[in-house]
Amino acid sequence: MKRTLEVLNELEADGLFSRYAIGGAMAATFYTEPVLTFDLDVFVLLQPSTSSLTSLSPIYEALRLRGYTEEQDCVVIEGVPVQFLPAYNSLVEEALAEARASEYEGVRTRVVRAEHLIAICLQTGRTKDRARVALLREQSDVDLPLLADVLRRYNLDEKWKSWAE
Amino acid sequence: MEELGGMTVELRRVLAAKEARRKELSRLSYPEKVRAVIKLQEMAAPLWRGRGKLVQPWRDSAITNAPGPGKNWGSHLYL
Repeated sequence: MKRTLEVLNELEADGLFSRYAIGGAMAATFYTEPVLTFDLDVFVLLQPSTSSLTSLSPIYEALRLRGYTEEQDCVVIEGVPVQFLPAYNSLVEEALAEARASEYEGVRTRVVRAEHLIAICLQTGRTKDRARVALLREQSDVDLPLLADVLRRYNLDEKWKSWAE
Repeated sequence: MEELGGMTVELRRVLAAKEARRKELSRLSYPEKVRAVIKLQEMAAPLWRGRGKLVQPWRDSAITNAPGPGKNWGSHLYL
């Protein structure tokens, strides 16, 4: 995964996206016990485009030129299937902007904060999101004032309460 | 065997130990957790393939070069 993160940093330096952060199960794993997943979800903030359409095509093309292949919805970068997810709403944009800087075996990276992961899970609302929220609630050191603020601003307080019951 | 609320003392002890182990796993470093995820993938991939899902454990040089989080850790992950 070290080399995978190096490639992501190279893509960011090359301007394919202005910022990235690890999300999904691998971000949750940063804060909790390891959980099974087969892909690495990466949120990206795409560069402003003259077109109103946001497209991942330039990223895929750059990776293709580096010899990486696409498999289903992912690009396999150094043995790790990476799923790129463009920031699709203001919550995800905020999660990207406030992602936690970290290092993986000497390689700098960013991981979505636990509080934003919880909010994104609440918004997405699948069964596996519910399980992830339960795990984060149980095992991560959530900043409760920050979480409350995020949930209030994105109208997720009620869902948070109902999932806690 | 002594019982408490329908649960034997022995079973309570086992459940408490599992809980402690999960907490311990949550405190591993991120690279150690990634190695654990790869171990989980290796265990789960044959089952997924058996259900027709094409999955592949990650290839990560770190897993062959670095020590794991402890002896027999993989066998405790999801007890």
